[in-house]
Amino acid sequence: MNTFNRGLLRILALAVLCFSVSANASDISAEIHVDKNWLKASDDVLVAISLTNHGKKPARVLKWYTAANGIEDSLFSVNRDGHSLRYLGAHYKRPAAHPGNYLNLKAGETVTHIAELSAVYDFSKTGDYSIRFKVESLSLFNPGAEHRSTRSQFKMPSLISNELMVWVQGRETDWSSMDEREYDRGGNGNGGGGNGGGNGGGKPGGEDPPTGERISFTGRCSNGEKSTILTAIDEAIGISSDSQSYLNNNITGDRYTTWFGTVSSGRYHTVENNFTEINDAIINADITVDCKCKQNYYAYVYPSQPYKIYVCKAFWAAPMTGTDSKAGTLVHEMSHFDVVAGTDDVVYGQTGAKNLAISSPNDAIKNADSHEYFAENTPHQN
Amino acid sequence: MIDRLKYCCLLAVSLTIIAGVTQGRAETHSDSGPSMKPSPLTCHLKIDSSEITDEPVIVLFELHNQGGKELEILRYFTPIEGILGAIFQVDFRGQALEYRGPMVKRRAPGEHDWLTLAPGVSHAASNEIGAAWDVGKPGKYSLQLVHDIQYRSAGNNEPLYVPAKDCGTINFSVTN
Repeated sequence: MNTFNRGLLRILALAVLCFSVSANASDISAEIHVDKNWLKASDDVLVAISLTNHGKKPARVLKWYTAANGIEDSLFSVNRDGHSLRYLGAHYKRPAAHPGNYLNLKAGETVTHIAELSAVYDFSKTGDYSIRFKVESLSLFNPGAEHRSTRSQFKMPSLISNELMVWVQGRETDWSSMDEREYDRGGNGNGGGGNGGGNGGGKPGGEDPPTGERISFTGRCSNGEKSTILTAIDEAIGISSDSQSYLNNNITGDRYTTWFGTVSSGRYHTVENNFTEINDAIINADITVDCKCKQNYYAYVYPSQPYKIYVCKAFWAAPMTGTDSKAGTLVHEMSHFDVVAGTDDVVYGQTGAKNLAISSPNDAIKNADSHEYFAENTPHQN
Repeated sequence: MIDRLKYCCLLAVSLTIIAGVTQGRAETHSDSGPSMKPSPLTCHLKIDSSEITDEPVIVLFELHNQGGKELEILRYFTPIEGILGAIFQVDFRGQALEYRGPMVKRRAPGEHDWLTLAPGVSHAASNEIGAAWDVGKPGKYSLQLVHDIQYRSAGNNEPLYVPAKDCGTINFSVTN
């Protein structure tokens, strides 16, 4: 690191003078630097980003779009041999920016952050990589910017650095440490049998997943977390199978009416179909579980993007089974996918779900928590 | 006769509220009949420009406490907390657009999930909706809230609602 920093300072002195920079509506510029422009397979790809306020007044930039806390968004444009690399790291859903989210720079001040790109971009292939820091956001320099923009004067605030060229030797990739990996599922599809061929190390970019199993992990899940998730999926299979069995047998006990309200053949059929799909997906689908979320939620999904489930802090604190459990959360999330049951979040919590079953059974059969509580069946009802 | 009608309406509103769930969708409360008094809480949806070209579509949501008492507004299902579910219905050429944003499982709302609004005070939140609805195609769009706004007077847990439709509908068009 010392060597890196010494090199960094040398380059910094030249770079500030040499590279042109754009920073709409701000006096802040961005420069990126590397200690050496060739990297062995054992080297991390480290890039230093220097932000300088060239103005005579203090200026600020939204921290989310700097590397002040590591790479929390797609901050770079990276190309290998002319091909754009996809950002594989976190995409945080943020509230509106407020002043506390900004990094303040005094007049003339420069701050430098170091970012490890090899954690969030795929450097597994040997080649020439071009790297540029490039961010744009309405709120990049000002939390209230969006309210003042008008059609005629609108120009997206941005911060774009110089471009660096680095030769990188391909390296083995630790799948478990990457935020996200692309691999070609075309070989296995739903027909199975495509994961053979001794993939061994699991190289990204068009090859099979390393384990050949249908559950994959992204977002830096630890080994312990992976193990917990696999157990939770097993438990989820148990409760979703039990739910399907209940409904296939046309049982209309308290368990059904508590969570879905008055029985009608149409609604019952909908719920039965929903659980057929949920159970099938939990048992058979290629599920990806992502561990990067640090919010106080249980989990979230994008309904149009099956079958990726993002688990969050409340998930890890939840019991494995029972009310609002890990297993139940997976049932809940699976129910959201458009290709599964396309449920919504109408209400949260057992009290709300029970009330919904009474006041609006038609909404209850669309509500994800109602499906979860039916599956968890805690306390037990027939 | 009019007084009797008013009484019946008031009763209907009260019964709806009592039977209501702790949080709910527009259809749960919006048909609760006319209220005898104007709601102390008002809401509005706004957009900077109704004609958009190569710009993010940013929807502004404003709440205003026009009453004389402090109000508490449930953040869940409102634009105050961002887009954590299908909180808007966005129509394009008369057809509802698919929601493609996140759906977040959370705990049932707790005490910290309420926004306090003093008398006379407003609160605004803006959300860029392009990541959750495909508003990139040229044409006419309309947008409205899906969920009623749940609130209560400070110190009184009786749930009150502003129907989603009372926040209005915004119309905008996207051009190349």
